[in-house]
Amino acid sequence: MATITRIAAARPVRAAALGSERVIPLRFGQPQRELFGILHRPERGAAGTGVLVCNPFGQEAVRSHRLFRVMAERLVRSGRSAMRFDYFGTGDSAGDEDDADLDAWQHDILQAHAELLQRSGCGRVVWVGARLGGTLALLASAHADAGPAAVVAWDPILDGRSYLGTLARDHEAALKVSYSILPPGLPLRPVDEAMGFALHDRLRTQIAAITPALLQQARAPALVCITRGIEGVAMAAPEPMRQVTFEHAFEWTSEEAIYTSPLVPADGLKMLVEQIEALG
Amino acid sequence: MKEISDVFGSERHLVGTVTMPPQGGRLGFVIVNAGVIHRIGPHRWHVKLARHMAGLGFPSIRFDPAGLGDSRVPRDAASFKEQAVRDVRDAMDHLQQVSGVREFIVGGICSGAENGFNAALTDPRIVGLWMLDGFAFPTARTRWRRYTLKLRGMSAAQIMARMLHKLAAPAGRRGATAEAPQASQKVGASPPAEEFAGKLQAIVDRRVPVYILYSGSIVHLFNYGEQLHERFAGRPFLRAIEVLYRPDIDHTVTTRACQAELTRLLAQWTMGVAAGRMGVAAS
Repeated sequence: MATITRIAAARPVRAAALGSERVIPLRFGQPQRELFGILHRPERGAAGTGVLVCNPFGQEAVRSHRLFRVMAERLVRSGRSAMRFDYFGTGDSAGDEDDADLDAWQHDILQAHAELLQRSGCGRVVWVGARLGGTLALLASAHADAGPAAVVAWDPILDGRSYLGTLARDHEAALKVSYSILPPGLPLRPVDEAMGFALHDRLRTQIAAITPALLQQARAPALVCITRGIEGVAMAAPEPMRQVTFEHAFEWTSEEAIYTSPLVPADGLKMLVEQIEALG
Repeated sequence: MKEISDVFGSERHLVGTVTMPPQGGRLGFVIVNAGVIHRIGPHRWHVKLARHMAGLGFPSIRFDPAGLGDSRVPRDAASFKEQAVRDVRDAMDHLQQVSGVREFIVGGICSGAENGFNAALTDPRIVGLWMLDGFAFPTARTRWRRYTLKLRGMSAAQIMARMLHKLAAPAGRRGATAEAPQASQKVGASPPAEEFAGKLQAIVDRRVPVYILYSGSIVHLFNYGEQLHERFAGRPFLRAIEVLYRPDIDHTVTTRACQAELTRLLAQWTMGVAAGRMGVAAS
């Protein structure tokens, strides 16, 4: 992986952007790599701890948008600041889906970390990531000069090849749910996309290279790995990592509010907030 | 192209992103959210659509209506439908302020289509309306085709098995099919046909071009190209609207190919609307 050394200095805060608003949309980063973020701030005072949300990939990011908004609001009520952001080429950030690059997305996490520190005035930051976002947070923590106080990874991707298989199955399932009658000749398991998001060669290679051993790279005073089972984590977890098992029925890739999977899983939200608040 | 994200609205409660073309600006393009998906749209299609429109010279806004995505519910919130119309107006005000455009094309998928339709009824700045899977009015032919389409390609044994399965179902559930629950979650109820016809007539009477598209995801509600014309035969508004049935495109534009094709269709139609507005301005 490309070495990530130092992140760019954040641009000065525009006075107009930091009025009494509690929810502030931001565009930050280098002009050629502009990122979008949403900062949630308490009404009064600088937060002691900030929380940076690291999104999953593709449909999973769309699916979890509401969950993380509600989580951020809960955290603000307990005096924290929180920032959600989109990696380059995803969500509201600049760039196209062909720009997807796991190495560069780790850099984006560091960039967002600096932005959150500057904008919120918080002294320490906890990174929270789900699925591929959890994996990226663990990996990026190894490259931060002054990194996160803790990383919380929920259902991180620890087996990239298996994840690619999951995406292919979910893509097929999504098409079968969405179409009343599948158009003749429609590829059900294309290799180069997953539910409308590009999976180009570089990205597929990067995802396929993810293994449980990557956990050894994570560097933070506190690491929390929340999974449905502990087998893969137990083999590879570095010393400070606390393992939490959490069974849930949340469907990460399902269409929004379809069927039985709630838009915001109450049990998952509660668990996540408790894990974060336990970190101070 | 430049993207500007900000809060706006009466209480600065709405979050949206304006996409500005490199030069100037003609009509504004307002993309109304589909269901509960936030402003990037299903599978990020709204972002791609907005950027494509910017490339053609149309500034756009995609935004979260009150209570959805990142937007808040204002203190003086109206009913859901009325608030949605207020939010569309606020989005037009904001796009007008940022880009200088004074006329708008509005549209969306599903509930986005419905909200755009309701806004077009009341705001004269709207000069074009597009809807994907907005309102659908099945006919007897729709119901017949629904079953024949489903049975097409099945062997006699498969058809027999399907019939036996239906007969074996509890009486209260007879008639329910595997596809109905998912489709009914995708598209809300349409208003009474006469109400819809009256409102659509009012919109086209303002010389607003209307582009009505249907996907391949609501076969129980719409499944042949002439359906709307058959259902409303003889109504004057039919001469002023365009209707397109594309069963190869799904309700949430899941594949990249679907996204590109729907973008192409809307870009082509929007260019036509813009050319028409230039004619109006010149006359």
